[in-house]
Amino acid sequence: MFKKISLILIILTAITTGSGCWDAQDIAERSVVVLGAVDLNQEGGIQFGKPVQYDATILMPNLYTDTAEKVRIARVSGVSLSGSRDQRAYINPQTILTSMIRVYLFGESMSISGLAPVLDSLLRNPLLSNSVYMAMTEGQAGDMITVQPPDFPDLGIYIIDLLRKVNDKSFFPVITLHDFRVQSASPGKNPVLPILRVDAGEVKISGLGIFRKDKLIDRVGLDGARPLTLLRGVKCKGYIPFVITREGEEVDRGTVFVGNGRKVRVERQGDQYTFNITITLKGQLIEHENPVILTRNREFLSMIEAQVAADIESECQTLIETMQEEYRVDCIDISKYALAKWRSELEDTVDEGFIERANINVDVKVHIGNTGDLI
Amino acid sequence: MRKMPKKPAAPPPAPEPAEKPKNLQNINIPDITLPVSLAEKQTLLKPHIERSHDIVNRPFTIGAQQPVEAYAIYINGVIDTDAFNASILRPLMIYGEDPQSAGDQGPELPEYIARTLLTVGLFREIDRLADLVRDIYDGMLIIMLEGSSQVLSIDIHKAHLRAIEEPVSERGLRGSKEGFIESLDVNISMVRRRLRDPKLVVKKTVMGQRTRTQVALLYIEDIADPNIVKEVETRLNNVQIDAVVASGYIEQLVQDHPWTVFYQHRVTEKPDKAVMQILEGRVLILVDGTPSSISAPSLFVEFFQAPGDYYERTWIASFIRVLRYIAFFLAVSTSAMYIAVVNFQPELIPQELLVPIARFRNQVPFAVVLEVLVLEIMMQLVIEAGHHLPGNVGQTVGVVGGIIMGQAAITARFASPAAVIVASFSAMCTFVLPSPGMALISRVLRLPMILAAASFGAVGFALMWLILITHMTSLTSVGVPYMSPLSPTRYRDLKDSIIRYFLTSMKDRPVSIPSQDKVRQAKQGVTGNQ
Amino acid sequence: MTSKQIGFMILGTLVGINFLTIPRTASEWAQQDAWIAVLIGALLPLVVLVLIERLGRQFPEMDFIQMSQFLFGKIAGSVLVILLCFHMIIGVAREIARFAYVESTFLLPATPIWAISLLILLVSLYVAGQGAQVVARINELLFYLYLPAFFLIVYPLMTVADYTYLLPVGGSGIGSIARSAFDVSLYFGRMEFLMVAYFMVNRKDEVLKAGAAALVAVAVPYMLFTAVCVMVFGAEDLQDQITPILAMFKSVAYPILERMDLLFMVAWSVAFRPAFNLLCMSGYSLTRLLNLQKRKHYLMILTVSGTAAYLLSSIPRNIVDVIIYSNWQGFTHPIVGLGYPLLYHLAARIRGGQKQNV
Repeated sequence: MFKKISLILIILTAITTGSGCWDAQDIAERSVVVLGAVDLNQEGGIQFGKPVQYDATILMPNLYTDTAEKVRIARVSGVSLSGSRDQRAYINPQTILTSMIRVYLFGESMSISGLAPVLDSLLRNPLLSNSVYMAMTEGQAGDMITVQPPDFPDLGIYIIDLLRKVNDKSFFPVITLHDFRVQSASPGKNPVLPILRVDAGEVKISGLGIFRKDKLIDRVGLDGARPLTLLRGVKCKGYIPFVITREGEEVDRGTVFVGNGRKVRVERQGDQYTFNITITLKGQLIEHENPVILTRNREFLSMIEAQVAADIESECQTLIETMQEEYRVDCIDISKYALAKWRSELEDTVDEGFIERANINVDVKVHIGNTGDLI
Repeated sequence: MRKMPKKPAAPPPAPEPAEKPKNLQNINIPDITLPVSLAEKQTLLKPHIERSHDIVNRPFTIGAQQPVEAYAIYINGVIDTDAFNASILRPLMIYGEDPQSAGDQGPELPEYIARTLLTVGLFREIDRLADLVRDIYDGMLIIMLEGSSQVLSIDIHKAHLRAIEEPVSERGLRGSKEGFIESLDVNISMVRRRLRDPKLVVKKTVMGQRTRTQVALLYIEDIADPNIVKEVETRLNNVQIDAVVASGYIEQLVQDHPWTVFYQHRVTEKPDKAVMQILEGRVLILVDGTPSSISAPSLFVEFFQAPGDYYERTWIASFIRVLRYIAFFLAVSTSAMYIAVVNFQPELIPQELLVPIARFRNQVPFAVVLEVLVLEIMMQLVIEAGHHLPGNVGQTVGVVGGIIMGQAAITARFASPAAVIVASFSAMCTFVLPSPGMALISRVLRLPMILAAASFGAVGFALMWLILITHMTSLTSVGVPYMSPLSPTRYRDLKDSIIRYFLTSMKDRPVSIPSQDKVRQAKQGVTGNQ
Repeated sequence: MTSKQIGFMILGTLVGINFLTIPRTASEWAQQDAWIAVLIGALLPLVVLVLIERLGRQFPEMDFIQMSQFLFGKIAGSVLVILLCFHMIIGVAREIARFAYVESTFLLPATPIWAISLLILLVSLYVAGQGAQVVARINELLFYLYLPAFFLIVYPLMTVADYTYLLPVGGSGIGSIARSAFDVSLYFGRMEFLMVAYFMVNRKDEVLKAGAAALVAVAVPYMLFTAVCVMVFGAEDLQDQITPILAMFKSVAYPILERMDLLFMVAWSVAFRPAFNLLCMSGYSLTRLLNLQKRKHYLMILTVSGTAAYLLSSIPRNIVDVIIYSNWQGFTHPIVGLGYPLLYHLAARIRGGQKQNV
C-alpha cells in the first residue's frame, strides 16, 4: 500500500514539476546581443510619469539567413537602464539575451555624469559575465553602433577583437566590468577606460579616459596612454620607437618590442610618502638604421637601452606631474602599496589629496635580450 | 515461465521410495525401484516413451552360449551411432567374454560387462524408474538387462559442435580469438586449458524441470570466498523454474536487484576473460546451450575493462580506459547537455558557436526536445536494424541509413546539423564501450537524462546524474558493493579501475572482491641484465 | 559505516551552500584578514568533535537513542532526541531554501522557488532513503568529484588577483578578527549530527582522526578561497556579493569554457549534501526512537521529515528573509553543537560515569 501511494506521489510530482519547464526557451526564439551601448538620454521625455534618463542601444546578429541585413540594431530609452527593456517588448519579437554581451560602450556624457547607477544594473545580472569589456566613446555610444566595419560580420566582433588583443600589440590596458567595478569601489584606486571614436567610417582606439571612481575627469591620447599603462603596471607588450641623437645629430633610429613589469616600493617619513616605481622593459630589438654590428659593439646596444629608458622615464615623469597637478587622482594605481602597509591609517583619507602630496620617482630599466635575425 | 508446483509421488508398487535429492524433481514419474525382469522393466517404461517416436528400443542378446536378453534404449540422433555400434553392441554381441561367465554374473552382470566389455568412458548404474526416464531424455544410452534391476546409463552423446571462433560482440585487437560455444563440456575444457590449477572446482547441477539444462559452477577453491560460493549455490538451488533456455534466465533469477537497469553479473563469451574473473576470486557459471559465461560478483568498473587492456602497455591501456569512461558519460549525457544549453543555459556556449547554432535552430519548426528525441529514435532504429540484418547488409544499412537519414533530416529541416551531430556522436560513444551490456545501458539511460534536461535544464541534468550515481552506489552483486572500488573507495584497487597501472605493481588480488588468497604475484626479481 | 566514511560525511555536512557565501561573512569585520578568521572559526567544530567523541567512548555499545534514554530517562531522553531531530530538520529546510534561491538566481530564474525546493527535497529523500551506508558513500564520491574544482582558483589568482588586498596581515585588529571568526564558526555548524552518526561507525577509535582530517579538508579550502576572493575583490567590494565564489569565477573569462561560474554552479547543484545527510540522520534517529525495524518505516518517517522540512523552507518570502532566518538559525548551531555534548557529559558524570550493558 505504502509503495503504491509513494509511486503515485512521485508520478504526480514528476508530472507537476516536469510539465512546467518554466525556464525553457529555445535559442531560436532569443536575440543574442553582442554589443551594448549606454548613453544619457538627449531628447528628454516622460515614461510612467518619470523623466527618461538613459538610452540603451544593442547590436544583435540576425538569425534569419535569408534577409538583407546581417545585424539588427535596436535603441530604446527608459527611466533606468533595465527599465528601458520594457520598451523592447514593443519592437523586438524575440527575447533579448543580454547575458551574452561581450562589450559595453558608454557615451561621453554618460561617463562624465558617472557610471555607478548603470553598473548596478549590469552587476546585478547574475548571468552577465563580469569579464565583459568596457570602453567609452567620443560622443554618443549609440551612434557608434551603427558603423559597419567593412571586413567584419558586425561591429561587435570587431570591437571585441580590437580590445581583446590590444595589449599584446601595444601598451594599452583592457578593462573589464570586474576591473572597473573593483577599481571604482576600492579606496586608493581609480579606473581608466579605453576611448573609441569613429574616424573616416572606422572605429578606432583614440586614448584612455581617466576616472575619479566612476566619473570621467580627463583623458589622454595614444601618446599619453603608453606611460599611463606602464605606470599602472598593466602587463602588455608593445613597440617603442627610439631616436638617438648626439650633439644634435641623429645617430640611430629604430624600434624595440618589449614587455613590461613594475615594482613599487613605498617609504614613509612622518606624513611624507615616497614611491619609487621601477619599470622594467624586456624584449628584443626589431629594427635600427645604424649599420653598426651590435655583437661587436655592446656599448651601442646599451646606448639603445639607455635611450629607450630615458624616453620612457621622461614620458612617465610628465604624466606624474600632470596627475598630481591636474587630475589629482591616483590613476597609476600605486596608493595600494601604501595601504598595504598602513591601511588603517590611510583608508579613509587616501582618496583625498594623498597622491598630490606624495613623492613619486620613476626608474626605467630596459633589457634587450635579442636582436632578431641580424647581428 | 511458470514455477511448477511439486506434485505428490504416486503410491509405490514396491518398497518405500528413496528421498528425492534436490533439483531432481520429476514430473509425474513414480520413483520406484526397477524390477529384475526385463519384460517388467519394459512394461514400466513403455508409458513414458511410447509417444516419442524418435526413441529407439533395440533388443539384443549378450553372449552366445548363455545369452542374456537385453535392450538398448536411446534417442535417435542424439547418441553417437558409431560409438554405439563399435563400443557397445559389438563387444556385447560378438566379442562378449566367456558367455558362461556372463550368464553366471546374475544381478552383477551390468557391472561386469561395464568393467570388462564396454569400451566407453562415462557410465553409471541406476535402479530407479525416475532416473531411468530422466536419463533417456537427457540423451543417455540405456542398456537394460534381464536378471538385474540395475541398468547401465552410458554417455555417448554425439558432438554437434560448431567451430570455435571469435565472438562477434567482443572483438579485440590483441589476445585470444577463441569464444565459448554451446557445449558445456567444451567450454569447461577451454577454461581448464587456461587454468591448470588442481584447485579449480567444477560443480555441475541441473536446472529447469523440463529442460533439465546442465549448469556448471567453476571457482578456485583456495581463492574464492566460501561465503560467496555458498550464496551463489544457494541461489541456484532455490531457482524453481520449468525451463532454463539460456544463461540470461539464470542471470536474472539469481541477481540481487531485479528492478535495476544495471547488470549485476558480467557476461562474457571469451574464455580468457572468464579465467581472469575466476582468478580474482569470482564464481563462474556456465550453462549448456549458451556460448557465454556469467561471473559473480561483478563490479561496475569491470564493464569498462577488456582483456586487451592487459596485453597492451600501461599508458596505452590507461588512455583507452579513461576514454571509455568519458565515452560512457558522453553517451548518456550529450543529448541532454545539448537540450540544456540550447533551451535553458545558452550562456554556456561560446558566443561564436551560439549564433550559428541559433541560426540553424531557427530553421527547424520543432522544439529542440522533439528534435533530439526523433533523432535518437531514428538512431536506435538504425542500430537495431543493423544488428538483425545479416553481416555486410547490416553494416551497410547502418552506415548508409545513418548518413542518408541525417542529411535528409537537415535538408528537410526536421533537424539542425548540431542535433544530428549530437545524436550520432552519442551513438558513436556507445560503441566505444567494450561491454555490450553497458552499451545497451547507456542507450537506455539517455532517455531519462533527456527528460530531466528538458524539464530543468542543466540543473535537472546534474540532479539526474546524482540520482543515477546514488542508485548505482546502492546496488550490490552477491552482497558486494557494485560501485567498489570507486565507492566505497578502495585505493589499492583503483590501480585497475579507471586506469590500468603497471602489472608489476598489481601484486594482490582486488580487495573489492572477497577472496582468500590475496597474493597474486611475489616481489619481482632483478632482470637478466643486472 | 567506516571511519573514513564518517570523515566524508562530516565534510559533506559542513560544505554545502555555505561554501559560496563564506568569504563575505568572513571579511565583514576582519577585512583583509578574513582568511585568518576562517581558520579560527574552524576550531569550533573541532571542539564539538572532541566532545562528542569523548562522550561516545563512554558508551561504546549504545547508540544515540539508547544513550539519551539511559542518561535522562525514557521520556526526557526521547524529548532530547526529538529536539535534535527537529533541529536537524530545520537545518535541512535552511539548506533547501538557500540552495533554491541560489539556483533560481543563476540557473533557473523563471522557475518558481517551490518547484526548485521540491526538486531538491525529492532528490534528498531519494538519496537519504537508500540508507546511511549509501549516503556515506555518496559523500565520499562527491568529494572526489569536486576535487578538480579547487583548481579553478588558479586562473583568477594568476590574472585579476591583487596580493596587496591581503595586506597588512593582522592589520584589522584582533577584535575584528575574533568577531568575524565567531560569524564564521556559525558556518561550521551542523557537527551535532555526529551525535547520531558516531554510533554507526565500526571503528570508533578512528573517528577523531578522521573527523579532524575532514575539518582540515574543509577549513583549508575555505581559507584559500576566502583569501583569493579578498585578493580579487578587496574587502570592501566583497561585502556587496551574496555569492563571492561565483562572482570570482564570473570575473574572468576562462580559456575555452569561458563561463566557469555557470559550469561550477551546475556541478554544485548536487552539493546539497547537508540536506540528505541530516535527513538520513534524523530519519534514522526517529525510526530507532519509535522502535521500528523495517525499511518501509524508515522511508515513511523520512517522508514526514522531508515534508516538514519543505514546509519550513517555504516560510521565507524572499532572499532577504532567507538570509535573515538563516543567520538566526546559524546561532543555534553552537548552542546545540556545544550544548548537547556538554549536557550529556554532565549527565554521564552525575550518573557516575557508568558503563552500561544494554
